[in-house]
Amino acid sequence: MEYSTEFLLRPVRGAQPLGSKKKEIPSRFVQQLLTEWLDQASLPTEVGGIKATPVLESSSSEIQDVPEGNISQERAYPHAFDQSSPEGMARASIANAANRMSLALDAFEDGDIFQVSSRLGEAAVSLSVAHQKLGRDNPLAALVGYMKRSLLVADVDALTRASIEAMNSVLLRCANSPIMRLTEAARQSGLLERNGWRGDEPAIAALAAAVLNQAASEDASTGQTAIVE
Amino acid sequence: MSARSFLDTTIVLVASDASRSEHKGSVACIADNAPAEAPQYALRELLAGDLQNLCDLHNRLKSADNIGEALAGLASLPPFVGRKKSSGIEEFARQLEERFSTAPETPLVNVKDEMAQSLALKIVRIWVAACESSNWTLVQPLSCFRGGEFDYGAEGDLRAPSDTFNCDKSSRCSAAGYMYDRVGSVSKLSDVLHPDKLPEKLQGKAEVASRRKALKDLRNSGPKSFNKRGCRALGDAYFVVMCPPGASVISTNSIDFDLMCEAVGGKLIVP
Repeated sequence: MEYSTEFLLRPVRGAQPLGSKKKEIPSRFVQQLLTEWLDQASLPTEVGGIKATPVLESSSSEIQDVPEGNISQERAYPHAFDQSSPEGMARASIANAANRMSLALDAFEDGDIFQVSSRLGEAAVSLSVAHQKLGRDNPLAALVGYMKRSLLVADVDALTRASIEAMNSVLLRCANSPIMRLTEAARQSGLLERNGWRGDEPAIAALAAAVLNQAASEDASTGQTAIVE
Repeated sequence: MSARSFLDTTIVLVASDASRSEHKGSVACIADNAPAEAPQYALRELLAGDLQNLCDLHNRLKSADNIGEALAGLASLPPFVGRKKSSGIEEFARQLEERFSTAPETPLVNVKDEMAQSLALKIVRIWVAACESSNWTLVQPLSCFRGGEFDYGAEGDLRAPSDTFNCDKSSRCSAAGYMYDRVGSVSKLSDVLHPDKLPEKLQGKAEVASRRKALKDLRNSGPKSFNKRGCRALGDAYFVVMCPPGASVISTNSIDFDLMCEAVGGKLIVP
């Protein structure tokens, strides 16, 4: 069985070099050792029919280092991938929404605008379910809410391949690596925004507009308007 | 020959918020005047000004137990945009009313949480875009400015990067240090902002008076003794003084910049 052990070889944040001389570590040998260690020590094991997996702290506000990539997140935060947990159920719904967006792209390529609209609605329903399962202070919940509202108010006539691809890309990112910091959630919503999606909550958009001393933007209440790029 | 530009806080904000109607025009203006540079002072002003107001709004919304508390919390915010504050709250109340009339069975806590999430994401999106934009290069680093990431606190409140909107208490004002290297320009601005010389539109503006006082303090006492509290009062003067030779300041605010740019022979572009 093969596992990615690359993340374990990265330098630990805050670690100080012990000496001035840099020691050469045979990385292939270390990698092999780590792979064997993972095989023996940290694989999920079945106890009395229940899968026992190592559980690490995963409160969103206390995430110190979010491992990159699918496999490492699945190891570090198994509850987010466990389909019987609320987070796991949310993740499944997000994956379902991604699937609906793939079908929306098929319909877009066929020029079937009504089918595109239906697929967006289906994806929004899946995201609504996911949103209800996620904790209120979870950055993923904020991003899922943004995507749900974007899909609900989208102007189907203004959709482009890039906008659909962007939405699908973010959905897949969320399904594959659901643990993220607020900054990453903001980056992903920024990608959507740059591709024409508008998911700010309407009352918040109005209030933020006043705070930021801007003229009330029609974008805030009518959803997607001009598609950039 | 390509034009160079130096961005102030207002243009950095608009170019970092793609939901605004002026966004496209601002980004195009920056591209037309590439290469563009934004001083870290713009990030410091953005964080301590607009983003702090929005963060405060988030935390008041989050702590409200009912609609009345939410509105009272908003009404007691500092007068962030003068007379526009009340219109913002009115619009917010109208949107809330619409929300509850279309889905009256929705529990308030769900509505409130979704709004707070949306606001948190908006704040951080603007911050991340300002810090990471490929439309400009960040220059003139400030050692007194910490930066970093927004995050949720243990109670779900939104926390500033490094848990503060202010500069490092133990450092002296880096912005004043940069400006003092061009003390001649500082003097010119201090003179031109004299109340007797101000055009009618700037007469009686408290912001202009406090800016002149900060400039005079800097000119007279130098950066080592400069009171850090005057950092934000320097405001627009920082961009005028620190704009690189041959570059133009880009700002959405012509009222405050026109006079100062003219005084130091600088050029201003308003998208």
